[in-house]
Amino acid sequence: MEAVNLEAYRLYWAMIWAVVGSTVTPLVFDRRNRNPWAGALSGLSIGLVSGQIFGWLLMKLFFEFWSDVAPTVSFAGGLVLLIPWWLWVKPRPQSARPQRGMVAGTISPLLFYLLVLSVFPILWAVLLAFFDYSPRRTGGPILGLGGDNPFVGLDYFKEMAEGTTRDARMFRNSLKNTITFAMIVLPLNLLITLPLAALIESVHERLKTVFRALYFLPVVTSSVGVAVMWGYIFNAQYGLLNSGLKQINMTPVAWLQDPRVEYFGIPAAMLAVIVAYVWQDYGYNLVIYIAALQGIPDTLKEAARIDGANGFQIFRHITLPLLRPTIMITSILTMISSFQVFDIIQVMTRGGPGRIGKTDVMLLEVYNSAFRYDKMGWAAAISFVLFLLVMAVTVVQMRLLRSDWEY
Amino acid sequence: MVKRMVILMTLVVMVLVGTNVTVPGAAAQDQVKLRLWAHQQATFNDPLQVLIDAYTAEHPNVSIEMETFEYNLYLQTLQTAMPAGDEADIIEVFGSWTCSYADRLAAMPEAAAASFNRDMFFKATLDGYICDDTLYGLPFEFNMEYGAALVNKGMFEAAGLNYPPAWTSWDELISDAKALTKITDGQMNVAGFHFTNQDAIVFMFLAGILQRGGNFWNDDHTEFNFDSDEARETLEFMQHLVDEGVIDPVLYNDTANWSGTAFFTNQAAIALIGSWATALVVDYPDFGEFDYVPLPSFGDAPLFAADSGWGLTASKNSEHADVAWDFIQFATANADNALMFNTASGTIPALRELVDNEAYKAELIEANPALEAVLPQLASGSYIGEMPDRDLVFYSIIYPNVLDMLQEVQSVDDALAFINEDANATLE
Repeated sequence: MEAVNLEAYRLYWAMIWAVVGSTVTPLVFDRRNRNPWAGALSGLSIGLVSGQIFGWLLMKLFFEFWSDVAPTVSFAGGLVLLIPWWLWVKPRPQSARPQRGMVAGTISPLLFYLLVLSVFPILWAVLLAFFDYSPRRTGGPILGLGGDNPFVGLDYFKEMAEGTTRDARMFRNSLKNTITFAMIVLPLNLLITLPLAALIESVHERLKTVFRALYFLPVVTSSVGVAVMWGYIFNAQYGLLNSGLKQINMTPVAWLQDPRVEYFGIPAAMLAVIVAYVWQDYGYNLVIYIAALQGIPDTLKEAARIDGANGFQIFRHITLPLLRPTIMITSILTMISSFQVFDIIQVMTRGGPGRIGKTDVMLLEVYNSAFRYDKMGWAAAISFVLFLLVMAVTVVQMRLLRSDWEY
Repeated sequence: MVKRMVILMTLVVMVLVGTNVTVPGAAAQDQVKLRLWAHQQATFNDPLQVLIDAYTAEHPNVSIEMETFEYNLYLQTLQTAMPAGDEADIIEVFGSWTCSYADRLAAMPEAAAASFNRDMFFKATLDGYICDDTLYGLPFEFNMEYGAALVNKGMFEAAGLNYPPAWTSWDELISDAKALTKITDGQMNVAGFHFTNQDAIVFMFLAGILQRGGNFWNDDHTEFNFDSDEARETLEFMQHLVDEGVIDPVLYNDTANWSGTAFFTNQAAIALIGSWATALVVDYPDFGEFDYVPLPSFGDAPLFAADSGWGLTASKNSEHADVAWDFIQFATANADNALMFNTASGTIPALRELVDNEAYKAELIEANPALEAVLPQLASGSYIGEMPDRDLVFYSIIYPNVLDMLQEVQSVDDALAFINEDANATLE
């Protein structure tokens, strides 16, 4: 049994039988006129318990004489209690209440997965933000919290706001950089995609498909590949951009490396990563705008044209207002993804150049704090602030761009 | 329905009690199965497997399975597996990490510790594995990032310089480096002396302080002392190298033209880097001849700071920590086994005997000629000291502050003040 990683199998048994139990049992309950939600709950519990107890027993019994097959057989453990449970449930007389066996059987396992794989980790991350937690230390008996991983309350948040330590300085710098990045990316993205979508929409149907595919290509390209490509373009010594500058007798610039170079108060490295990011990202919004433009009834534009409106006036007074819901959703999505930028910057600059990284954004700080320096609590606190920030910006955008009508 | 559930659960309990099974893990006493975790690096993993095979051949009741992880994934695996208690019995760690993981590691068994001679190993390596005077692991290599540099034979000859260089002073090195530096269209495309990657800056800074008679710790090792005259002189010397034009720290640093790559792509004529970098030549088959030569000293002795080296530890959760420790001693403290590992991996030995014994030493140099430059210096090394977070101090505090200073973003005084303040904050 030592060769078997029981921890892993316990996890498999739990995940599989909780899902089977909560999927099948509601259907059984439904057929017998019982509440399917009660079926989902009981099926999930019995599946979990049965999977753990009988999975382990089957593994133990079979391992003695048939070790190769034992892990496979152990997966039948959940059925030991679930099948009797399904058989023993007595039918009730026909109820007038509508039952929802299929609904409960579909939603319950997904809810379980969401709970285990998303909600618990999020709650754990929020909890960690109040502890000085490092996985290297054993800490207290409950989840390693307490003891050597002490409770620090709101200390991290106070430190972020008014601290003078390196961590606090780096956090505030990353917050500033993240906001700068998002505030430039969003308008730049909209400025490119909206007119471009309108232009593509105006060309012949066959060309439209070609353009749409071409502009969407960067979206499906790996971010690391995009970052490497733009890294070569911005290379100080051999990059395409500097070669062009040399051709026209301009001084080459160490775009990604020189912390002293700024344009309009924005570091050159930040501008470089923004260009790379927007190049990869704009195709996504573009196809959404093209779809939205196709949804605007021609009759409205036709009516405006008859009333003497020119192309710009039609775009300004008809197209743009009708695109408002689309602009809202693309703005929110672009803003959220900008706040979560990581891979392109990690590959192109690693947050540099400079001691106070010119392109160091919040997710980079989270990554470095958590996985390079084992400061899980501090990293969780930054993640929590990022979450609040994204939520606040989303709410504000929704308020500003809300429209109460449909066409 | 509740009644049926109670009956069902009672049956389950009866079955469990009646089965009278033993707890998994309490297997037969004579068979011991161990797992060993290491990061993926063929030069390390292959000789380690040879040692595992040799040990299991001597101990037929023991089997050791090596599992390897890509480096970054390895760190994350340790971080998640150790709190879950799911780590391997034997864990490869870097010496300077050991004390931060000490809570989760098994100390050397008392019986073995009582007769163990700590002087067998170079102090600079073994000190990394000693926490509160307790031994938590043993090193199988000596990590030395400062003391010698790669030199490009073709470039030296083309510049009409003596090769291999035997610098007796820094002025001689600077003179050679200036002659080797090439600038085209206003941009440096060959650095005469590349010393601006992360490890080079950090370990040159530390060695400079030590060789000038200073120390980067206070007397009782409770605080860093980076704001000293010796530290200032060292940074001013680095600034002097930039002023002399032997390196452009904007174009050559750790993120752009890293010294290993720069050297083997003919973009750096002299590169300050650990001897392990000589193995990189396999990726550049057309590269010409090169050597690894000692650097001049800032003082009388070639003192340097070393952060231990890779080695093996045993997990506290292991049911066979004693066997794990027996293997660790077999792999690292046995001279023949250590020699096999160091020659096969091209690493610097942590075991003194391999340097003191001329036959062993000759074998080491034959396997890796670059070691000739570093073996005489090993006794001058001292351990960096126990830091709660060595990576943070080295790579996020010292390196970026010194690089900013070299790039003229901040002054020497500001760099020292920031380094001292931020490094000491990590000790709080």
